[in-house]
Amino acid sequence: MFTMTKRKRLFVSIELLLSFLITAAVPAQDSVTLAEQELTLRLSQQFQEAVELFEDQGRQSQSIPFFSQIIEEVDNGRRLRDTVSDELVELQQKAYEHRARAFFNAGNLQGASDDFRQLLLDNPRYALDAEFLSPRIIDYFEDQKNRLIGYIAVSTEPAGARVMVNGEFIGITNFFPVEVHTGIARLEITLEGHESYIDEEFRIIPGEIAPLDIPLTRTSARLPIITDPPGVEIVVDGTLVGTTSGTLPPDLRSLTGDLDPNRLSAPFDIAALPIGLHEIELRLECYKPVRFPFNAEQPRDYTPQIIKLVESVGRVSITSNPTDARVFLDGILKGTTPLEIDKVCSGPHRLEVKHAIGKYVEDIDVGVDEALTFECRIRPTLAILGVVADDDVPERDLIDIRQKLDEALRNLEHMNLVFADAAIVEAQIGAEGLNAFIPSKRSSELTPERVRELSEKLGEALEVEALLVGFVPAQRLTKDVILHFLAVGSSAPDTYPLNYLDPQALPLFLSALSAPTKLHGSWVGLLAIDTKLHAGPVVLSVEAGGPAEQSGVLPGDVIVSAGGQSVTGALGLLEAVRAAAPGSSLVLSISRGGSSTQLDLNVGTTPLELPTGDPHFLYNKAIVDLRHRMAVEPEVEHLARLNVGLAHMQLGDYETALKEYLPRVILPGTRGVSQGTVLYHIAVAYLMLGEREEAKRVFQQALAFPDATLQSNDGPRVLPLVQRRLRELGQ
Amino acid sequence: MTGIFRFRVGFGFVVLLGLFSSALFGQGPPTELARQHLESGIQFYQQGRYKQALNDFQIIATSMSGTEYADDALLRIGRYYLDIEEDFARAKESLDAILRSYPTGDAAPGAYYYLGEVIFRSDRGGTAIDDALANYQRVFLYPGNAYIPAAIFSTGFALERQGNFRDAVDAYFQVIVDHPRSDWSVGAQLGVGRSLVRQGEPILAMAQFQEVRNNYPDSVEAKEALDWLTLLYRFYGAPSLGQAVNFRRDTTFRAALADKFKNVKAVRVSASGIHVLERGRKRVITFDRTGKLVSTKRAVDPYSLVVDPRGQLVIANNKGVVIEGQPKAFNVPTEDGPEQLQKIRAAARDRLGEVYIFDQKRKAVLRFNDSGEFLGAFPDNSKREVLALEIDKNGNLVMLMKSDRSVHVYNPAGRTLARITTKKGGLNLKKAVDIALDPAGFLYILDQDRAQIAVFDASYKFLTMLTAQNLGGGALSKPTSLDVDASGDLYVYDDKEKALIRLN
Repeated sequence: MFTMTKRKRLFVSIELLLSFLITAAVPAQDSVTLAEQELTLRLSQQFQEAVELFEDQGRQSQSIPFFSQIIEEVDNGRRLRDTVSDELVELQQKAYEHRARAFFNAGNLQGASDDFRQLLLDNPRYALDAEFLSPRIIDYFEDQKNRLIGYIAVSTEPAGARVMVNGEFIGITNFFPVEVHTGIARLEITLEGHESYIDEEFRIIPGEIAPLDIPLTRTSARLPIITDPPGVEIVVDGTLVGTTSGTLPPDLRSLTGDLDPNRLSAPFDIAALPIGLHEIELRLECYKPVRFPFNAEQPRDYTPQIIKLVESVGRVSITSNPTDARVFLDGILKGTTPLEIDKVCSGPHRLEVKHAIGKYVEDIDVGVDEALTFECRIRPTLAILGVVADDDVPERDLIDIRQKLDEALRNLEHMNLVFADAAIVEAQIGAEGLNAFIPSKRSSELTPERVRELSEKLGEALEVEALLVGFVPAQRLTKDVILHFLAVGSSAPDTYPLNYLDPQALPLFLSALSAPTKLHGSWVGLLAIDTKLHAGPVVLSVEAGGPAEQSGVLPGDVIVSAGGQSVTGALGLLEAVRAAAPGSSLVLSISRGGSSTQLDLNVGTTPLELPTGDPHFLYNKAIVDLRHRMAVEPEVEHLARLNVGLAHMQLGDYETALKEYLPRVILPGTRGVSQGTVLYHIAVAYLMLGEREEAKRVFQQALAFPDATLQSNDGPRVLPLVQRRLRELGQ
Repeated sequence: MTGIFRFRVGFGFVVLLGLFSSALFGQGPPTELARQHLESGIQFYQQGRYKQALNDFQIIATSMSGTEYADDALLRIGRYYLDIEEDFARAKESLDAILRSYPTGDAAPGAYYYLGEVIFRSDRGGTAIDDALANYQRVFLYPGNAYIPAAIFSTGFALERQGNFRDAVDAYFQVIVDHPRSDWSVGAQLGVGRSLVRQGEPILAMAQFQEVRNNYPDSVEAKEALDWLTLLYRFYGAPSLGQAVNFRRDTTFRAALADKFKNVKAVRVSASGIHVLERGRKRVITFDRTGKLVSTKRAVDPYSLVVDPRGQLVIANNKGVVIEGQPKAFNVPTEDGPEQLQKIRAAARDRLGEVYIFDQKRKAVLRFNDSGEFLGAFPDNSKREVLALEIDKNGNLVMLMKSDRSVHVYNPAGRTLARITTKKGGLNLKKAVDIALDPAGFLYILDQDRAQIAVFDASYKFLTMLTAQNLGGGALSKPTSLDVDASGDLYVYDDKEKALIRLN
């Protein structure tokens, strides 16, 4: 009598359980319904219990009804749903096996024979485990199998055909004998490009091997394609059929002619090319596509077509100021400026050159063999974050404002413009919302430091240097929107109210945004005053060594005209000087000692500070401009840095001015806007932060620069201001 | 009496306004009504309809005192009394009410500022300036309020009045540097110039005055700066360039009078023209700057003419003083009761309306308040005879003494600021007959016999002597009166020529 060992029983149990668990863990699929899962679980448990009875030799026969019930329930399932899960099929097959063995052990050979037959009908390739079972039962099973199963072995010429028996896929030729049910079967052998072989009455004899050797009749051509380089897509009659790859086999190297065999691909077979004329296209990025017709006249193998594709690239040279900007082509980092990209595929590309101070973006079109040079002007980028409104503002007004704003700002030339993704904005500033950048709307708990942090987060996420938010207050008679322009890293925005129904208002805002921030002005170094005693301004003093003195202007000279325009006042002279470019000269007509004379006044330059306390000045815009200039114009780096610091001070952010800008400014210790000017501002910033001792220390340092001035070389002298501050500080 | 009457009228008016506004309450919530009254009042004020404006403000202050606009209304009432009526007491009353009832409200810094102004403007002798400064300082207790630049400016102005020019410059510069776009910046720039002049830095001052012209070319201050520049250039600019101080007779200027002048006692210049007091024909003739006759006005028995700090003509006649056409008699108490002055020979009036009168009978300068009440002899009870009286912008009294032709300068408290001997010493004037002050505070003393003019700076330090050489070479023969305009042009009456002469 055969008994299953404990080890085998454990294995079966675990196998079934795992099978179920895996099934249960997998999300329900269409073929595995919930009912099936429940059935599988229940029958698995039942099977386990039945196997325990089966293992108990004294009670083995009692297991038969349980296996029968399992077999019956799976059959019922089949009837209800046409198909059942593989797990149930497998369970039923094992139930058949166990019942057959129980019948066999009980001497019911007919029952055993019926069950093994049914088992083999379900699965001709079912096998018993010869290692654990007795040879008697194995032999009995094999005997039953030989009565039911025959074998088929198919080879074709050419090989690779699919073989189906009674609609069931058996294998791909050529294959070794495979078990199949005995009897008359439908045999179908198919291979693309060949006539199918079909035998509706193929006889399979029990226990015998039916060898078949079928020559398939070709109905199509085969065309191998070899390309230089590999990786070329092959399109036949508009349909992509594959891509060349690999390297050329040694046996084909003789075919290559002048071509470098090391650059050639392995042949790609267009295997089943129907007889007739075809359009074949070979294409590879950065290469000119190759198209050719191919007439497959006969169903045969054609000689390989070896095709060299010609590169279709151009060269792109990219420079930027400042250098070391990252260059992206179609979003892929290519290097940093200055950069030469030798091979850029012809066609359209997006060129992005990014630097900490801004970026350059252009959609370029590279022609074949074209050498393009881009001197990229890195520009700051402004992100329009959106428009918020008081509750009673009609939605249509908001839409109108947004449209007008978007349209107008598209004309912005000196900045890149992006419309910020609302999701990114929300992710960065969260609950604060855009109100964070609107002083009149934001929570009083939101500190300037927090606003600065938020602007920095947004700037980093959006890769921009400036932010713009519109606020529409409750509407009165006019249609107002207050634009808030914030430099990234700034804690307070510039506000610019405008009536958006006024067609001139937005262009004026654009002009304000586009106006360059002046760091230098014209200067001649003379003091002229108005009196009622002279027809024109009289020169009271000239700066020693200054342009006026060098040009021969003397104190007491009365200016009659400048640049050909009569001058009646000192302001007129000043305006003439301001209008003259530094380095140019201005013809002055002067009255000196009663006689008239002319001289050429050389126009020099003076450093300039930003205006202070000007409610109309866009300090944030100046910060954006000047941070950019700090990077691109080394010659004005320190003056720009000074003015960025001053802009932050004007916005009330003395901490940033001190932390990041003013102490790093180095100007000459000469007369005018100079190092003494810088020290004065540093000390004032300390004073505003309440650091009196530090302020006093720096004011004292400023005393060493008695000729320093504010605003310009003609501005107020720093010394008396410093002395006053020191007196206030108790010194 | 007048004050009581005004109070009663005012009180009744306020009650009526209260009733009226109570009736209005039915029309809407008090806050909204108060806002409407405030807007209305502001509009009236801007249009110069001050009484209507005051009505609106008072309705809010009395009947809507619980609204958020009440303190603002009180502030505007205070400003009205200060700026329009110059009623310092009422202004103070209104401003005090703000600080008493709304000490933490929006109007509190404004209240302190205007209280400072009330004290400063009502101060005569400089004794209350510290109080004014203290109130300006309190404005800074409210960070970021709109009155800060005004308070700094007024601090500078008060310090300038005190003679503390260095600190005045500091304050003015603080306005210029920290609040350059404020309305006070231009005035501060001008203040820097003035203070630098007083600090003995006329060239630096000129640069500041020119800044006013460059930065604010269309402002009133630009015109004032031009006057300063002209004046300073004459006395400092030209010499600094090695040029002489030169005046020339303006030959284009000829006073258009059909007859010759007769017994001219005084020539004075105001914003409205050049005024000539003819004792012979008992009239004041006014010419414009081109010499065209503008007006002729009768003057009863006139002896002197001055232009007060408000630009009003003050004529001393024998028995009274005529101020801008309004005659006024002055009494002094005697044992027999009040006695009207009968021999008035000179008079001057300060910016607060106090009148100084030289009475020939008593040989004394007598002081009266703006109501005509006698305050006493000035600066003391000593006998003195005065030929001319002038008051400068700071309220200092300048007297040309008849006895020794010296010039005495007293502050309003009677303290002697300067005493200039003209006959002896280096000055050596032969016969000083008139004095004049220019806006810079420079003093001009006219010497009739030598046809020359001595010029002193604002600290009464001798500056220069304008002799025939730099007065156009014999332009003057027998000058008897002079005045100087804002830009330093001299107007002189020459009795020999019987002509009004302009030297520029």
